[in-house]
Amino acid sequence: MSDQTASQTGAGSGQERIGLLRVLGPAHVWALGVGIVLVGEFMGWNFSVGKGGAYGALIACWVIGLLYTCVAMIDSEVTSTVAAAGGQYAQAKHIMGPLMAFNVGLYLVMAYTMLEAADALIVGDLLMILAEQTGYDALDPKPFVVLVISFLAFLNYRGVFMTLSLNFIITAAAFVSIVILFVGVQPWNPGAILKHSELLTDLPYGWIGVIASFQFGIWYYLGIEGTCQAAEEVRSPSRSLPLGTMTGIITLLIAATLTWYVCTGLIPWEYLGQATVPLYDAARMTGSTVLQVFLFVGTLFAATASANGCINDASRAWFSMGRDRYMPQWFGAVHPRYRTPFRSIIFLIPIAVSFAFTGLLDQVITFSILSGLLGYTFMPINMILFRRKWPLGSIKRGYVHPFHPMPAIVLMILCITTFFATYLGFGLQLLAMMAFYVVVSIWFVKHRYKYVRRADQFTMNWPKPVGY
Amino acid sequence: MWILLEYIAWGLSAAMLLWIVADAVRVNREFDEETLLSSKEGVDELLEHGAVNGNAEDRS
Amino acid sequence: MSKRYDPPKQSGIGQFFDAVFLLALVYFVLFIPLIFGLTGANSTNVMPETVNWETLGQNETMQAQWEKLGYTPETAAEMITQRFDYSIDPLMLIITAVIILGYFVFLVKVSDKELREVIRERFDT
Repeated sequence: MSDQTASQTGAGSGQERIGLLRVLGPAHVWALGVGIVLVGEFMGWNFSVGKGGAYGALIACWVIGLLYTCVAMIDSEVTSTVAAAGGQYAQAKHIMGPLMAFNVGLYLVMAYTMLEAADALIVGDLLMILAEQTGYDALDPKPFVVLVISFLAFLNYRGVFMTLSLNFIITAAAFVSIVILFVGVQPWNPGAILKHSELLTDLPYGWIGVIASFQFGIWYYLGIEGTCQAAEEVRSPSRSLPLGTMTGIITLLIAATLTWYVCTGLIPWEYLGQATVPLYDAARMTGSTVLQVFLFVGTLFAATASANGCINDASRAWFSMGRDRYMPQWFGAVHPRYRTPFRSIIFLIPIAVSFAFTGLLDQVITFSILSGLLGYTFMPINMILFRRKWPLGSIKRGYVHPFHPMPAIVLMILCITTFFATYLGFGLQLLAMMAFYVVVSIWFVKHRYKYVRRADQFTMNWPKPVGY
Repeated sequence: MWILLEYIAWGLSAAMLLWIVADAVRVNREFDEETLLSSKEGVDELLEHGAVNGNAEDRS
Repeated sequence: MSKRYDPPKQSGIGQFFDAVFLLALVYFVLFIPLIFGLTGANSTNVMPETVNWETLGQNETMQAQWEKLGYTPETAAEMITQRFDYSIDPLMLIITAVIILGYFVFLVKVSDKELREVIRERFDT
């Protein structure tokens, strides 16, 4: 999201871009990351309750928090050197090679497009529930799903964003609604509204359920690594990026724990594990109209902010691949007036709309999670090769993460565990996703790569890597 | 009331999507492909003080 | 030393076919299994013979919350009894593991080969 915004402002102000750009501090980085991710507290995380019970979901939330801590450490170091737009895609292109970069670019596109579909789907479901409450139970969510996607695509197309400030405000409002709900249920007075002692049960599946719930544990944080794409706009990346990302993760840990606490104290876990809008349901259960309105608006805002960032990021990644000829060159076009990757934005609309139309929230989310997870699996390999090909001292690093290679090893183990978690219950979907990436990879090697200019891909002014 | 809202939502979406497509077609006609594809990767532009997406020249 | 690789220019039709191919792949591999319900979670339902809150294992507080959500024992029964099937089929697990591992090995190997070519052209010519 951030890098796109940068190019908007940058393009408008012509050559003074650098001066204008390096204005963001850790607080902005924090807000950027949380903006895309916060919607995860309003929907999706609760499927981990379904897979492993209430306590299982809490354990998953914390363990996956560790996974993301490793992601943040590794990503901060690489990003502080590849301090430019493109994010993980540009990293992969320079450190591991074209095929990996092609795949990483696709992970970004798929993860964000599916997240966008889930966001739109949620808006439709939320309105359906509202209509039911007002006595009309035949509302068709489709027009509203299309409305959300086309409205945000329209904004993105025109580059009329102010995305940064707009997203700040709506994200902050969404965050406040969680805090208000937490205060509203009187956590200091257990038993009055919150009934944990009667509602919490033992682990319904035992410990294997806890591992299975790691799959949706990802949803609490998915997208936070996008903060590292702000590298280009940050005043002092070496300080701001690790700080902003880590405080972002801590904020999400707190928000996630609050959300978990409120929801499990109000809703039986069997319902919670299948709900589409758990926080709004929790507000309904309090019987307070004020809380209901707050959470309705909060959910709506969180979904919109997230979808907005997703359209931005997905089209940006697709555009970058078009520019490098990894995808048809046609997609590498920039709108002469709005300076946006307009063809990529248009191309991705039907995909988002059709997946949102299925109404299968858990599966759409799983596609997003799997693409994200493949991206995290790439990171430890990338990190180890990065330190080997460009050892410390050979290029200037803004930030060097401690304890190498421990974070890489821990991250790898957690990724493998999460693949296993997805296999439990969603095994066929995992295979479908892998089939997709295997086929496109072969297509890339056999067909697509012949259109790519070789040396032009390497754009950093780094020395020749060790061992080449 | 909800049914009316559904129609309004369909209408607004259609209007915005049509506008997007119409604009894209117009741009494709007005500008030649070279101009539209003239953007370069952000990495070197950061060093050259250019704009990331902005190498495309506005001819209008 | 090594000659610069000069890629062919792709025609508009070729680009169009590539875009259509990707779109088709997304729909065939990801979308169709989804709408035909092939990919959903494997789950089972064990319904008690008589359906009421007690046989569904819901205590008084749970019952009250279900009712607040607008459910009766009959409408909630399916939700409550639904359980994921976590039985592991060793063959499927091995196949899945081999596919993921093989995919990454393929990526690392081929990417490295391609990167060597890029580096050679960039630094040696």
